[in-house]
Amino acid sequence: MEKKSRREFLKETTAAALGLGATLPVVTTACSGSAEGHAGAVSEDQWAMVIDLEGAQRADVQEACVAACEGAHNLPRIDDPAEKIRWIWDEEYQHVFPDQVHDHMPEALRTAPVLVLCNHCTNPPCVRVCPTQATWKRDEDGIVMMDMHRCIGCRYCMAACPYGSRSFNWRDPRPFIETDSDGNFLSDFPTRTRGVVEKCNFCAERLRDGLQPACVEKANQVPGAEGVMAFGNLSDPESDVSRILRSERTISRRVALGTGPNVFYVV
Amino acid sequence: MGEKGKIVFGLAVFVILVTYPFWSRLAASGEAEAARPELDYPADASVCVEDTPFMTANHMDLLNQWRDSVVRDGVLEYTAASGETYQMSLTQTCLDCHDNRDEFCTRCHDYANVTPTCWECHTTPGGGS
Repeated sequence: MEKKSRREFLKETTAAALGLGATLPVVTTACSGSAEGHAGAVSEDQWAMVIDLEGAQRADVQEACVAACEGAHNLPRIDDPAEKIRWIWDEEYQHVFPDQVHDHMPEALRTAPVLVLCNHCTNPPCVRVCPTQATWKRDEDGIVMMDMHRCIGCRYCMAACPYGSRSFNWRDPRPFIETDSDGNFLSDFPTRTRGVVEKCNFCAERLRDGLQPACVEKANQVPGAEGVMAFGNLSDPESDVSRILRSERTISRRVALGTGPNVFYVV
Repeated sequence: MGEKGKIVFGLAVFVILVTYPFWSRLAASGEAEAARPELDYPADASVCVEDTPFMTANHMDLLNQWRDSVVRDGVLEYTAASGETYQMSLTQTCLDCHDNRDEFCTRCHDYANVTPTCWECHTTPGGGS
């Protein structure tokens, strides 16, 4: 092989580097093009719920919601507060909105029961910490889902959720699930097993069939409580939730944390 | 030389113990093997989503594929080799025909000595455990 002079070597190397530099813009354009294509496939849809704070304080409305949820998802009834499984329940106003409470607020307002559930956050901290992606935010509708097959029960998500929306199955829930006279569970929804975390799924299985979440459906059927809960797509300006959020004064829980809750309360 | 007898005896015991699985199997070969279970196939459905030998060998992989597809990807319909489409659902589709879990699933799983965890959460149609 012919030996190259130092000068020739430098010339060829520079030419090669320039050639590579010239192709780079083409490559980056191609890459960004595909990235845009991918972003376009992700839907903007986000299911959201609006709860009328005052209307939903009625005991009969809250009981209807909890019972509907228990029946739809085969929730166990465990009385021990440390082992309770809760998807939707009531919490005192001062604990739901701790940054809205001040010293001069009447006791009755502070302790008023507020319906709470998973907020299906826009930026869910539970999803970030899950080591197995057993919980994830669905691209197509923004629901924060649980995959019980993948949950290893590490409970990182429970530590990460600032709303306490998640429950852990410390024991086999089946003996605590309500059954009918034949010993069958109230629905075909799979029960959970010992050692997994669970939470509200916005009734994803009902939404698939074009139904409203069970709690929304039942709460609005309570006499005198029509319209106490609304459910719909935030990206659709004509949906019930978008309409209410435009016209009413609404709040959501612990906004300063930046999780972006998608359950709103009309005050 | 007094140790020779002990050594031979020890070796004999060792060889017998190590070869126990082989000769015990030979001795038992005269007996009938564990009978294959009589499975209770559904009477009114002549065809499963795929043919029977495929389902016998691969139903567990198919179900895992259905699980990932429904739970993770939101795809609910399965197109079989025959071109037929089915809803991917253990409770709705599989158990709709195989309405006899104990005589079908459990009987064969006991024979094969496997313990799948499906039924710890999933129910039979109508909410039966």
